[in-house]
Amino acid sequence: MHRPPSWAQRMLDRLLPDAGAARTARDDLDQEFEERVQASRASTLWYGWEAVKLTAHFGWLGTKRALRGGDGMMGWIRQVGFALRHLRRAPSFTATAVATIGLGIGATVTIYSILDAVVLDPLPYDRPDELVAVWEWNVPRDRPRNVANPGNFAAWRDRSSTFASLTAVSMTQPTTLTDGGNAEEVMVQVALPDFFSVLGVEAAEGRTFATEGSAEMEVVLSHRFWNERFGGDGEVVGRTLELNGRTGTVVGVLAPDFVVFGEDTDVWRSLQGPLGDQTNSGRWMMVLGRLSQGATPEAADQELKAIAVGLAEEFPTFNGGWSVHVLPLVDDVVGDVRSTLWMFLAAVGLLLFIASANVASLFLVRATTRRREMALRTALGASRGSLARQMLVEGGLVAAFGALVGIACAQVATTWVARALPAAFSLPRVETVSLDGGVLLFASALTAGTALLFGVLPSLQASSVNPARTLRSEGRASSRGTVRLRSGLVVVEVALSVVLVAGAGLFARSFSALLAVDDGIEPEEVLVGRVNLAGQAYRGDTAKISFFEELYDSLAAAPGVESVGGVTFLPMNGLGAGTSYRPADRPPPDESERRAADIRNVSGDYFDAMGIELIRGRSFDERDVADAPQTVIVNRALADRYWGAEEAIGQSVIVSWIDDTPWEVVGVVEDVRIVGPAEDARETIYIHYEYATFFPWQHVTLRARSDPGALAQRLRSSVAQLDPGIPVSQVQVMQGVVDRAVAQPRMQRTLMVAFALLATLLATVGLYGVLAYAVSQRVREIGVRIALGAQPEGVVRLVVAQGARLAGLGLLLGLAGAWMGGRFVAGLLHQVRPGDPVALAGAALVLGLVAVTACAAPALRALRVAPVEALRPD
Amino acid sequence: MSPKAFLGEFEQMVLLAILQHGETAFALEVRREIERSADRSVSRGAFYTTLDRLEKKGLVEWTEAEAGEHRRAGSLRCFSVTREGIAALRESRRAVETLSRGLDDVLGGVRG
Repeated sequence: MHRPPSWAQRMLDRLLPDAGAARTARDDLDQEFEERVQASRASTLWYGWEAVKLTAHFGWLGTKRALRGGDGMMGWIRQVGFALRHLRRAPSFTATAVATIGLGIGATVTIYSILDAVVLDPLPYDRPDELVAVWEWNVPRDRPRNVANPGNFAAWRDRSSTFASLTAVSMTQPTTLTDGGNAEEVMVQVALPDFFSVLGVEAAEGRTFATEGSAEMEVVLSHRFWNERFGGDGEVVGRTLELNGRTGTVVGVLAPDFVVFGEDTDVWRSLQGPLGDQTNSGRWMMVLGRLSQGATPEAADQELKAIAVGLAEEFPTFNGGWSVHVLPLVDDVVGDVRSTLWMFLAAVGLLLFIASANVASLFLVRATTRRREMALRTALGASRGSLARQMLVEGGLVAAFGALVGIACAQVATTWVARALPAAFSLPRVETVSLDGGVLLFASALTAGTALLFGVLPSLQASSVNPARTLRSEGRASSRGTVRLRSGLVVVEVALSVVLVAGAGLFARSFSALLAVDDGIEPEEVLVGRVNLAGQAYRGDTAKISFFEELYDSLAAAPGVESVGGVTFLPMNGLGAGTSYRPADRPPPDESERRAADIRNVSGDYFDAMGIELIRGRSFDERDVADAPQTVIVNRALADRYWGAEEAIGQSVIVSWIDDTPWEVVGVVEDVRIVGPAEDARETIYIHYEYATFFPWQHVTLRARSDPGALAQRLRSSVAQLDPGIPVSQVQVMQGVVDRAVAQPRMQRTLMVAFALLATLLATVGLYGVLAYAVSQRVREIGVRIALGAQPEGVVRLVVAQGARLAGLGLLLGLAGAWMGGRFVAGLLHQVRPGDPVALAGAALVLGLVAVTACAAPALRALRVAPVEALRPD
Repeated sequence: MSPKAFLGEFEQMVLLAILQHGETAFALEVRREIERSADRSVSRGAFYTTLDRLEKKGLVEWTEAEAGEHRRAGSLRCFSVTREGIAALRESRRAVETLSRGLDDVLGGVRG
């Protein structure tokens, strides 16, 4: 014969009032169940679902009644005072509960405040929803966010109708700033005069550019640069500065929260002169637009894509294979940080839930020990409502104190984040992280949620006390329901911990996969620093070349230097130049088939200094002078695409940004990661610096015999000896560049592991608590068993079986949850699948150990039960 | 209980469904009656809470019927509408009829 599911019946027994409407409802539910069983319809599931709905209904009614009831304001105040006295009388209980909740709320609020500042806050511009970023899309190379060509930009502006305005700013360029006698390198963006007015940005000091353009060059300073360089002096407006030898006037200073296209810009200068066209000025602009009324980013995207098709027909060589990509500006600014932050919020949310479950468990135990008090008060005339209300008030107070602790922790944490994180890696707007009204509102909602979570369960228990039974009996049998409820909570805790531990495992595996990638360089003993010859003094090619030759000679002679060279763009930081190319021995491919390569201009013994292995052929040497046959060195990826490393030597490539003459391949070097270890190796062509002096700088690369940091002073002094007016910037050990390339995955791993550890700790405590309590409740039974000759193994098995059941169920649920949750973070993982068996098995193992640990002490306690002791009446 | 207090729509349906069943009705049957004739599903919780409220207002009362041998619980409640309940129903109906007078064009003349 079918019976209703016992869990559902127990739930109704425990949580439904045994009188009135609830009683009738319960009876009718049972009757309907029997009718369904006789009609052999799926009845067990139905009963469970109906029971859950019924419990929820009456639980909610009871909560409402409890919150509404009492004797008005004075009643509530009395109740709070009463609850405070109760909490003070149990200081260790209160402290544990408040600390646990504080920890959970603190972590959650911290992560939320970062999410709020970085992702959720609207951009600080006028009507930010109308703003979009517009990129050219290199389709064959799958680079949807490439800088744009000024000629194409002009065509978009003229032919589109979805934009109210389109404006542009250049990529950041290292530029020499001369102010009086001092020279230093600053990061400059060249902007169209209407750049700031399209954004709707006002200057904090002075004004932004004159939109109609100005005869002389205008300069706007970033707030940070203004503070660092000029000490926040308002007199700076109107001052004259020299940028790469050209004079400009400072017209204003921006507000501190201005962020568009890179956080490291110091100075914006207005563009003087014509824009350039599709054939001779390459791609260097970052474009943003304000949509016209009613236009959507999608519509703009479609319109510009259509225009791009036309432009590709008009200029097939330059625009073949190029499309356009329009996206909301906020997406462009925030980028892929968004999914990481949401994942962290989900993770701390689980942590908070586990913490609340632990506190709920504590409350349930406490409610059990107070059953007699409750029964007595009921017998003396206290209403169910007032008892339930008291439990709610106590829960609310603990939650409120926990929130205070949590907010204090979050205050410390966010201050640290805003100060320390920007240096570690670039997270847009992170310096604006703080606890503002929105965050505090979120904290209050969390507090109310947790208070309900651990206030309602005990309050339902309290209100279902049957005074006659409780006062008559010893009150022990009736605590079994509490154990069940707490067991349920523990199962949930274990399950959520498995999810977090498995998640941490995924990110740890992904991170070690990243570290295992051979990035093609040996950064350990290397110091790099940019030496920038921008300016009038080194206009000619020979001037630049001979400067670097002299510098390298001087540095090579220095003690501790093993080799020295230079390159236009460092590996592992994502910046660089590139262009299309083709092997000279093959016919020109279709426009859409054209390949592009990264171009690096190197000088001195760059490959030696950076530790890039030469696989075949030779490095550049004195044979590769300006009038000799033109030579290139290619990387393995490029050689493999056409010839293989062996046969590549002696072949020729045509590099389209220079001219149509073939360049002979004289060497093949190992692949180097351009952006970071997560990307595949890209085709790269190395050209001697003599052929590309339009980049006025070299990242001078020094390989040290021992401590690379010690060479920094030597680099500066060698440059200063040659010319004190040349700035040396970004001096750093190469390992630092590599570390920054993996800073985000490193942070993902570290935080997830920290969350998982906390979750595991809390789940251990929770499991231990339930088992220890169950043993203490069964001391008498165990004593009888031992007295009757039960073996120690049997007693231990009794406890362990209970622990194993809870942990096992939690584990199963958790593995299922981890498997499903993994898919949401798949995009953040490198070479690890979301269902990674190692991570899942690892999580199972960790929680298995947790279960053993949590069982051990209660099992030993059970073994030590002395029969005489246990059987003695209370 | 003031007889002037209007009945809610759902309360009226519960009272009418009990009356439809004659002198007395089991809660379960009342609920099914409402689902059948009003052609809508009735939330279990809301239904029993309403019965409780009607009882507290004195509009329905119940007696315990003898439990069948297959019932695990002790009691089965038979509900009946009290005199006050019928008065309240009349009051509500009169108010609706008064308000509906002359609106046949709008309401399509559906009566009773």
